[in-house]
Amino acid sequence: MTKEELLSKLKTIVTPYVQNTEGLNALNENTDFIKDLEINSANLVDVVLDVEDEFDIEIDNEAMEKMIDVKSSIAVIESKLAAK
Amino acid sequence: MIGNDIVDLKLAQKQSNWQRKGWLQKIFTLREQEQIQLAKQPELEVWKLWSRKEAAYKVHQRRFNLQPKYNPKSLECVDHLVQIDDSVYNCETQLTDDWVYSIATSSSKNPISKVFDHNRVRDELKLWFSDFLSIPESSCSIVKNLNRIPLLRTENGSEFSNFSITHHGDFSAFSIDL
Repeated sequence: MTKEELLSKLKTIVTPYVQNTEGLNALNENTDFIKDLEINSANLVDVVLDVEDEFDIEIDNEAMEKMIDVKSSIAVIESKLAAK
Repeated sequence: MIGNDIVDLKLAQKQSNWQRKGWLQKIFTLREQEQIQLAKQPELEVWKLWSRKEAAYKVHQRRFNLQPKYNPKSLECVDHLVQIDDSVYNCETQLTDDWVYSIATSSSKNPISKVFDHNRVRDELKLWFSDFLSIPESSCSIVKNLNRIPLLRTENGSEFSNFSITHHGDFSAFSIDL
């Protein structure tokens, strides 16, 4: 899966939780889920669960703790996919 | 040091499905999950524990100037205490029909705390500090450091970090530890 495909899938996943649509339109690797997209912190766990379902991977707490921005989330997904 | 967190219960019900498979398990320790299952009002218990964890996380992050991270399970609530790593924080939780609000502190002093039924908590905080310091409100600004911890800065360069702000839905609050 290319980085673009990953980014596009991740964008679809976060969309229902985003409260700042401007941030979503400008989504890129440096986008922060809380600061830029204003995702409620209780919804970050939904993002993680949706990522698990979409990519059929398991995200442990150690990996989850990094998933607060696009770049780190993509790194987590890539490493979990590679370990499959 | 102080941290606070408010949950708008109506909005939380809309935003989060706490019964979703895996949801509780990702956020709460086994002991907390058991506490939720045994509670008379499990949903309310979820938000009580959540707000305590968030409030304690904020104190801990401020105390050690830590980078933001997302690991609610690394904090465990035991009654009014929240443990993380080797630290324990004292929590006070207030409850109405509309919101749950927790304040966590690293010391047992009496913090100042106000809840608002609007979202302009930053203005309220600036107003409070301008009264307290007897300076114009326009000379106070709220900035964030590199770890996104907020600081109140005055025109003459003084900085205060002994406060916490929170907002969710229709409600907001600040707490100050003087």
